[in-house]
Amino acid sequence: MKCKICGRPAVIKLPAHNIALCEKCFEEFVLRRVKNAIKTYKMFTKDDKVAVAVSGGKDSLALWDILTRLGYETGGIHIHLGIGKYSDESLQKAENFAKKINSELTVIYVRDFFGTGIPEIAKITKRKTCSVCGTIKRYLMNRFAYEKGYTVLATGHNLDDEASTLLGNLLYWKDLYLARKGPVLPSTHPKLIRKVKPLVFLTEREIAAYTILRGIDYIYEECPHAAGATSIFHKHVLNEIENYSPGTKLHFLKGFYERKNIFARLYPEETKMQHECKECGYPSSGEICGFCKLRRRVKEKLENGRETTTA
Amino acid sequence: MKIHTREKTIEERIQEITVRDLIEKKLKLNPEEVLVIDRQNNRILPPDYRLKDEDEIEIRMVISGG
Ligand SMILES: [Zn+2]
Ligand SMILES: [Zn+2]
Repeated sequence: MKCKICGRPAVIKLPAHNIALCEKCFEEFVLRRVKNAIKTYKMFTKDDKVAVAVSGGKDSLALWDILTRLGYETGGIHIHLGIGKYSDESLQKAENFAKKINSELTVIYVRDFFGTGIPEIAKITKRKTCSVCGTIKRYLMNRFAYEKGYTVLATGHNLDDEASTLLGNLLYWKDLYLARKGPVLPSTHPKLIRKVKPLVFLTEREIAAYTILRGIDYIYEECPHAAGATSIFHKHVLNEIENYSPGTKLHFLKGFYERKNIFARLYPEETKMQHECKECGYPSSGEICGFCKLRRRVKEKLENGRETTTA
Repeated sequence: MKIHTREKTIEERIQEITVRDLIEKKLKLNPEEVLVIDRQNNRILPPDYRLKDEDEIEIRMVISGG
């Protein structure tokens, strides 16, 4: 197998693009794909200060590496979720990588806000772990990206993540989600930072290959709470189709982005956050934001618990 | 040949086999969801590489949940 570009021995075959590439040409291919996504969807420019949401997994570390190599001004934000050994190892990977590329990493601890970690918060509020975790991560990422002076927040969502979510949303006709999903989530409030997904043109396999070539050490273990049974199933289904007919995932997602307005038109008023939270001052749909409500509930419960144990 | 996966390491005697056949025919995995890595130098092995019994490889699953 020879590299289609330079003729040296190829290491990876990319059936969706009908090519095989050597290590060097594959790295350049990855950088080009990301550059292309940033440009196509007007994600940000060299004047922006880009916050990378860094979990310590392959996608976010690859993203940080790629954006730095493309010459953007970047910094990482990591949220320590308080999920035992998994969170400590994730932080370690994020810190090691920040040191390696000599970039700033902001670390936020969930326990500094709640007095405890995600599993306990889910138990107290009787909500699904991944749903609570999502609410908390979104809030903290936005707030600290804003406070640290970043102008845009980039996440490591890849082609497989986005195509499988799209499939799930279409299967159950979740119009509201379809209306909001996209490679760019524009800012609708001065304190709501713009969100972008520069890896949407790359598959998980391509990103994993990139991390191996670059010697990026990421957390391979899955979050012990990963509830993604359905989303993993949708990924497998799409990969079956992809294997049968290469290029389908990309075609599916890009086609949706081109037709997004069909769904967005259904919810013209849905995009505005009218209020500012009375407690924290960040954008909210009601008087008090979801994060602060969550915090109150957990605080009350923990304080009551302490009283009963000391009494 | 020594094979590492996320869960375990196994050692198995093999006849010469290509990476492609190992993934698709022997392990029945979707080539879109795995990478085969040479553990001696941490490099990706191309699908036409012929694996020998003295090789030590890792089957890296690339699909994650969430
Ligand atoms: Zn080449
Ligand atoms: Zn608030």
